Parts: sequence; C-alpha cells; structure tokens
Amino acid sequence: MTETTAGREGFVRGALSRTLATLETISSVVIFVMMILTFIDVIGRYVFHKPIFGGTEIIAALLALTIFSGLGVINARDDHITVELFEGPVSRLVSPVLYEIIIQAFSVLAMGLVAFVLFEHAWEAYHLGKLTEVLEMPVYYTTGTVAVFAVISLISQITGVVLKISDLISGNASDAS
Amino acid sequence: MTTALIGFAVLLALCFFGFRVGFATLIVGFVGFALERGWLASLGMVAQQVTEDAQNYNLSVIPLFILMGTFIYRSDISRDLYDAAYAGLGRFKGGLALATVLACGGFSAVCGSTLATAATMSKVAMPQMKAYDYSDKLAAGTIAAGGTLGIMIPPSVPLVIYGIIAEQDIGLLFIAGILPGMMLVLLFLLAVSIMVRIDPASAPAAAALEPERKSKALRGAMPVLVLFVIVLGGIYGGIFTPTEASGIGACGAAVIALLRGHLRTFAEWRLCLVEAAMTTAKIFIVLFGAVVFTQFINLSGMPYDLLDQVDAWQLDGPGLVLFICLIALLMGMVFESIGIIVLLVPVFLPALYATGVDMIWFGIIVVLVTEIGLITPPIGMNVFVVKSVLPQVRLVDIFRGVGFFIAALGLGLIAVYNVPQIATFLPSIAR
Repeated sequence: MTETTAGREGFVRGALSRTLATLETISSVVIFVMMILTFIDVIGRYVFHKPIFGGTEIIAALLALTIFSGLGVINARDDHITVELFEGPVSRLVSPVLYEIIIQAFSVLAMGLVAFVLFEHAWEAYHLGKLTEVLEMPVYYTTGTVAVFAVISLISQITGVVLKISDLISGNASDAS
Repeated sequence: MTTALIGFAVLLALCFFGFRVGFATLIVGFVGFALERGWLASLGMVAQQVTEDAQNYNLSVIPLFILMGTFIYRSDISRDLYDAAYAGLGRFKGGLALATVLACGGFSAVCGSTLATAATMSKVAMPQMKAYDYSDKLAAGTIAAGGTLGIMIPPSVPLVIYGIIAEQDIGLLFIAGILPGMMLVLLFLLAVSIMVRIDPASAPAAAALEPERKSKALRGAMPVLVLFVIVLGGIYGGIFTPTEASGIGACGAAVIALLRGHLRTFAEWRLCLVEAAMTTAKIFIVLFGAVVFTQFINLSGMPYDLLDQVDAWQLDGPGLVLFICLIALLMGMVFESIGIIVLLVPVFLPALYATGVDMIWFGIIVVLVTEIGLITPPIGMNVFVVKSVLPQVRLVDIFRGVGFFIAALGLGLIAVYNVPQIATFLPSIAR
C-alpha cells in the first residue's frame, strides 16, 4: 500500500470513528430524554393531573430518532442479528472476500431502500403540509430528520463495508505472502 | 399460497447463508409485494410500514425496558441477588445451582434480557460453583438455562413484540407471564435437584453464607423486588400503561444503580444509554423487515389459505396451536425468539382467531416454545453466550447440561397447553 492510500484510508477510518461517536452521543441523549419525558408525563398525569402537552407525539418522534441514530452505528459495525448456520462453509466455498461483498451489498441495498422511502415520505409530508394531530407541528420535522439519519446510516454502512472488505483483502494478501 | 411459500423458502435460504435477518426479511417482503402489486405500490407500503412502526408510541416500551435492564445489569446487583438466593436455598443439596436458578429468575424480572442474564450469571455464579468443584455440565447448564427465564418473566421484549403483532394488550401479556414464569423457576429447581440426585458428585456440599453477608445480600436484593412490584403492580392495578411503566422502571433502575454507587460519571451513563439504543436499533430493523414481509404474506392470501387448510384438517384451536408449536420448535433450533415470533405469528393469525384461540394464552405458549429454542442445538444463543464468557468450559458440556432443563421447559409447555388457566388466570382477574 502506498503512503497516500494509507493516509487516505486512515482519514476515512478517523472520520467514520468520529461519526459513529457522534451518532452514539445523539442516540444516548435521545433515549435519555425519552426516559425522562415518559417519567415526567406519568408523574404529571397521576400526581398533578397535568401531563406533558403532546407528550405521546414527542416520545414517538424520539423513538424514531433513537432507532435511526443507533442504526448508523449498527450498520457501520455490521452488528445485525444473523443466523450463521452455513456462513462458514459457504464463505470458504466462494472465498471470504466475495462472500462478504455479496452479503454486504445486499445489506446496503436494503438500507438504501429504507433511506429512499423515508426521504420520499418526508418530501411528500413537506409538500402536503401535513401537521401532527396534537402539537400541530409539521410532520416533515420528524420524518425529514429520520430520513437524514437514515441517509447518514447508509453512508456509514457503505464506509464500514468498504473498510471491512479492504481489511479482508489486505488480510488475504498478507496471508498469501 | 405458492408465492408466499417461495417467499418463505427464499427468506430461510438467505438467513441460513448469513444474510442479515432484518434486511433479508425486508427485501423478500418488498420484492414479493412488488411482484403482486407493482414496484410503486411496494415502495409506498415499505414507507408506510417503516414510518408507522418507527413512530409508534406503544413501541417505545421496547427501548425503555431495555434501558431498565441495562441499568440493572450495570448496577452490580446480581451478586447480592445470588447471595440472597443462596441464603434461602444453600442448605439443600446442589444449593449453589439452585441459587443460580433463583437469582436468574430475580435478575431477569428486572433485566428482561436472556443474554444479559446468562452473561451476568456466568460471571457471578460460575466462580462460586467452580470453587466448590461443581461439574461444568451442571454449573454451565444451569446458567445457560436460567438465563432463558428472562423471556417469560415480565418485562419481556418478545411478549411486547407478540402483543404488537397480534394486537393484544401488552399489560395483560406481562401479567399472564407471571405464573408460567414462576412455574418454570420451580421446574428448573426440580431439574437441578434431579441432576444432583443422579450424580451427587457433580455438586459437593458448599459452606453456608456468613450471617453478615446474608443480611447484606438480602438488603441489597430488596430494591429489585420493589422495582418489580412497582412496574408489574402498576400495570396490574391499571395505574400505568406498559409504556408508562417502562419509563418508571427505567428511572427506578437508574436510581437503584445510583444508590449502589454506579452511574456516577458521564461515561457510565453514556455506556448504558448507548447500549440500550444500539439494542433497540438492532431489534427494530428486524421488526421493520417483519412488518414488510407480513404485508407480502397477507397479500399472497397465505393466512386465509391456511385457514381453509385448518378447516380441511378439521383442526380445533388446541390442535392448531400444537401444530404451530411444532413449527416453532423446529425454527427455534436456528432462529432467535424475535425472529420466530415475527415470522410465524402473522401467518397464523386469521386461523387462530377463527378457531377461537385465546390469544393471551397463545402468546405465552409461543414465547415458551421460543425459550426452548434458546438452549437447543445447533444454535442455542444462551449456550453460546455462556461459552463466550466461560471459554474454558466445553460447548458439549453446556449442551449436555441443559438437557434436563429442556425437559423441564417441555413439561412447562405441556402444563400451560393443557391447563391454560396457568396463563389466563391472572389476566382474567385484571380484566
């Protein structure tokens, strides 16, 4: 590997690592706020007879943000639920690199589909001027943010996949040498 | 029906070959729906399903109960729970293994994760049992099996997911899980006793707990009981909805951790919150895939074809449930609990409703079957977790060790199947 390539790869790894740390922080803040809001909502409802106005809508929006900010990290680390019954034999049969490329391309395709439909959904909500029922807040605030996170998830996933395959290839090369 | 069967076959093949379960289900569902209704309609369906589920207020119960479990997991309470259980059961033969079962039950009542329970107890109980020369088979088998209790004893994420899919009251499902959960604890205690009786050398006598440590353990374990009573009692008494209870439970668990000297730094908080958020994301991508796949299966008409088939076979409700149990048992050998529930339940829903099956009872049955899948070969998730925490223990010993517990779970299944009141009695009072 030339020094330029190594430097470029190091930059990409650093950028990915910082992005994932940011996504982790966002997801942790969001889930914390969700917990506190739910708690305050319950106490407000039962003790003071005054629940948080639109609490349900806010918590629902926070749920979506938790999922999609977390998904960015899960995607990049390829930490998804798998069955792994024939993974070993199939991987050896078709070569580990090719196997990984096929598996990861499929995952990227699926995440791309999710990001695309979410973006389209947010765009539609924006054009129709849809509002939420209680807070009467534009729906696209949430759907748009979720779509942005889905796109970030997709980008971090692609970056993670490329780095993983690059590691596999260089591992194979060093094994061969 | 043929299209749906092809869809299922493709999905199983993709999962077995290592494609990520959530993504495989999503793509098969999307393509299957598109082949029936067109690509544009399918895109719209995916958008609607994913958006609705991602912003479903009732589903916020999942991250919050996971968070509650994470706080409890990090609060280091497992040691006190184990000691408290040993204080009560230590005088019996195999006391350390019996205490492990009870501690697993107690821990899972506030943790809700089978894997976290197995991993924690591997660290807490195994050194104790090894110190007194317990056999690997008994010790590791008990931990792997004890961890499965988390799936039945509320709060249980698989029960929440079942409730969402089958449109059942999650609170009632939690309440329904209490008696079967307690029964399973008793059956596991019985399994340990039988194992020790057959092979007394596997569990030599251990020393009694010193009085000071005993009282410290009982004091230390008390908050877990209080939290469990608040969360479940709140739901049972109609004071909280499950979502509200999950918020209260998560805050309560954080307070317990704080009082025990944890969560004192930003890093500790971050660790717990990130862990819960990541687990949530992992579960939801499977859920998104499942709802999309279900739309395709419904469109293919398979659930209604199955309903006709049930009529043709003249299956009554219990017969149908037995048939589903057999399929779930087979799936349990390779799929984890959530995968089984999301793939199996929607397909049989119309037939289950038509045959008048009590859906709360069925929920408990299906969760119990998936619990067996957690410790059966070739892929028993809990067995692998114990193996990863205790690499020195041979996998074959853990699988041999869970044999009696699989039999105990089988007995529990037969009991709940034949006496539905074990699951339906408490909900019938709550209703």
